[in-house]
Amino acid sequence: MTKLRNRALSRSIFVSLTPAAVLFTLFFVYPIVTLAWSSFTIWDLRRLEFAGIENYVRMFGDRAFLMGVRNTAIWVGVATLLHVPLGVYIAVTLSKKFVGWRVFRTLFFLPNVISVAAWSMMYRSVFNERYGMLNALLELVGLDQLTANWLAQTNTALFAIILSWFFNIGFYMIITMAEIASIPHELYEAADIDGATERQKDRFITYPILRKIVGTCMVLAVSISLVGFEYVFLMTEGGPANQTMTLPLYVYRMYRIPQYGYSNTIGLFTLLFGFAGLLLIHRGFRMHEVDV
Amino acid sequence: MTDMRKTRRCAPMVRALLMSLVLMLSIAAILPAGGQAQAADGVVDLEMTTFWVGTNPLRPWKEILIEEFERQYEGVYRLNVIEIPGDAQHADRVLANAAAGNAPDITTGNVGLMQDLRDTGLMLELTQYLDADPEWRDSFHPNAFDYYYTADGELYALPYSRDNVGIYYNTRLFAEAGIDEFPRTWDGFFAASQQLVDNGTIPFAMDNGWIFGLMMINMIGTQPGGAEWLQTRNYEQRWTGSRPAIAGAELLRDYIQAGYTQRGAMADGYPQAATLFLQGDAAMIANGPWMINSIRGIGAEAMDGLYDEVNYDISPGSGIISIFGEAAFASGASTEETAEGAVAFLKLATSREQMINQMLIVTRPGTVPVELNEEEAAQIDRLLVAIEDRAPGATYAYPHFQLAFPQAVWEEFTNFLPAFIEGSISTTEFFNALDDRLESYLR
Repeated sequence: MTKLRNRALSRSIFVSLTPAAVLFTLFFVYPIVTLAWSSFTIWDLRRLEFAGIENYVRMFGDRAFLMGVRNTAIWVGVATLLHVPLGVYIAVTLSKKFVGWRVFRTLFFLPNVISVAAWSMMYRSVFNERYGMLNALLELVGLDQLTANWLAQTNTALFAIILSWFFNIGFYMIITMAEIASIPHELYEAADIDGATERQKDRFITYPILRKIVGTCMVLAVSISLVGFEYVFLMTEGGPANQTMTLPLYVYRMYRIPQYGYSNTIGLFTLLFGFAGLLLIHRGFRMHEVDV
Repeated sequence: MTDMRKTRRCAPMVRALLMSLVLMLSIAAILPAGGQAQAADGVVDLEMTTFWVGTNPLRPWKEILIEEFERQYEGVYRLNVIEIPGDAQHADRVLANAAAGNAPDITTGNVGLMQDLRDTGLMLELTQYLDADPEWRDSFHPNAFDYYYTADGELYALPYSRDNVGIYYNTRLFAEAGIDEFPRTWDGFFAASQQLVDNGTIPFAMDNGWIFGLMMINMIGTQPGGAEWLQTRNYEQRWTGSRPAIAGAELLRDYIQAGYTQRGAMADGYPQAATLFLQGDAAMIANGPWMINSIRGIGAEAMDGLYDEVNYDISPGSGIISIFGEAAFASGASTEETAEGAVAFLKLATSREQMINQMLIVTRPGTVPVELNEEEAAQIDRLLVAIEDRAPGATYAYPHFQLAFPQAVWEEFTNFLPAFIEGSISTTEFFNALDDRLESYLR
């Protein structure tokens, strides 16, 4: 009887897993395998030849690629070390539910429902040297010497793009607020009885409970910033002089030349780069541990 | 025991994965290798891709071409036109499909796309069809195919355009600044620009790309040895160490640094630059004859009366960007029927009638020289006539950037240009970046 039940269970697992397994193999395993083997080839429109580690040697001597690594690391760093903590801080603050907190929640989250393309175009206007809002503001307050061609100058382009991306904090804020809402109220009541201040309640109750959701936000921040392509593509296309180049954009640029093999080498590197980052967060936030 | 349990638990998953692989292979086996060219009704289907859509100036001509082809070959060929807005997006998609072994029966694009398509080995070699029809072959201008012949004399694309790219200038703004005629030397060009600035006018509308590239080519091409350097074939020229290239690039950098373009030009695209000229805010812009329609307010917002104020001339330094076949048609037809259909389309597109249509609609001469009768000549736009009249008198003639260099170098050019202009990288560093990209392209 048990044997029969096990067989039925196995069959149902098999049936329910098959569609997912097909899709997983087709759209995940196959592309990654292709990415991996083609990274060892010279693959363009003329040929597809095995080239050993030639692409890898080229990659580490390629200044544009190294700039891409630097900038991608900065993007990931800004997202994880600035956006997530700020998002969490704002979430904790808004969770106090002071008068008008809903307005602030909407204001912070609203930019996340605007398309990246529209957002980028808007910021292209903001940073325009001739008619941009930022220069107009600086001129208005008498800081003319600070005006710049923000997206075309080597010393301001990366800063300008990072600034335009700032409102991503609303995304982490909303995730964190959902988690805060699920914290049992009794914990705060007990703290009140013990005479805990608001800051103490945040420090000893809220933040420790948020550890895992912060880790999740970090994971999302890494993956979003690693695949983040549109902002840079639409605003600077990686220029000037590769100052805003990122790994996904460089993958695309090499694909367009077209050097598919080299493009896939950088793609594989990006994949491993992201994997390393996620592993670090997983360990750092002890996400595998079960809270007691 | 534990191992056995694990094995049993894993068995469904392993089977599921194996099953998925079998399914994938089955799907791959069932899928047809290519499309059917001949439909059940006996009409041969031809797939055509194009970016001549929306506000593209070539769209009206495309519509006439398609209409005429369908009229002439009704019941024989059927055109399935795939419209992909944006030339870059069109090129990406056509190349990606070609890399996967699926090239369109008819496509169009610039010389860069044509070269990339040729490299796929899927495109139709056209000399056999031209030789089979000597009248058609001999109808083309003798230099028409220069940029398309391979070293072995093979031809994989058929150019249809011939452009003299000059500089448009606003005669009213020139007169208001006290400038009597378009400058003939670069010193005169700088002096006139200063007069325009003094009069509160933006002398030259530029963008970070196309227009800038045209002016840099003009400034290089009019240096001693510059035209020859730009005409070097097979991408054998290098930027580093090239005297005309250094002189031309630095001349243009000085021009921008002197403030003779709009503020923030390095972050502007072509539309912003063109708008400045079309609205009468900038006195000059470099572009091909296809901009004439925009100046007339067709497909673009132009200031009332602008067309009457504009004139068109060759570059200071007596140079002209003269291009045979900046753009071409090509065919990836894979069967005899579709190849014949594609060639029929190419013959139609390069016929005398269509060359005149191109001249009238796109204000662009073709690769087939045509003698115009009085009535036809009267319809040709005066600005096109102006540049066609002045171009033969230019001392230097040279191709533009995209003919002289591959797309990869052009992208690196626009990438490094703002840093070069602001002075944060030297001419040598700028040129090294361009040469590095060229080397990596040729690798």
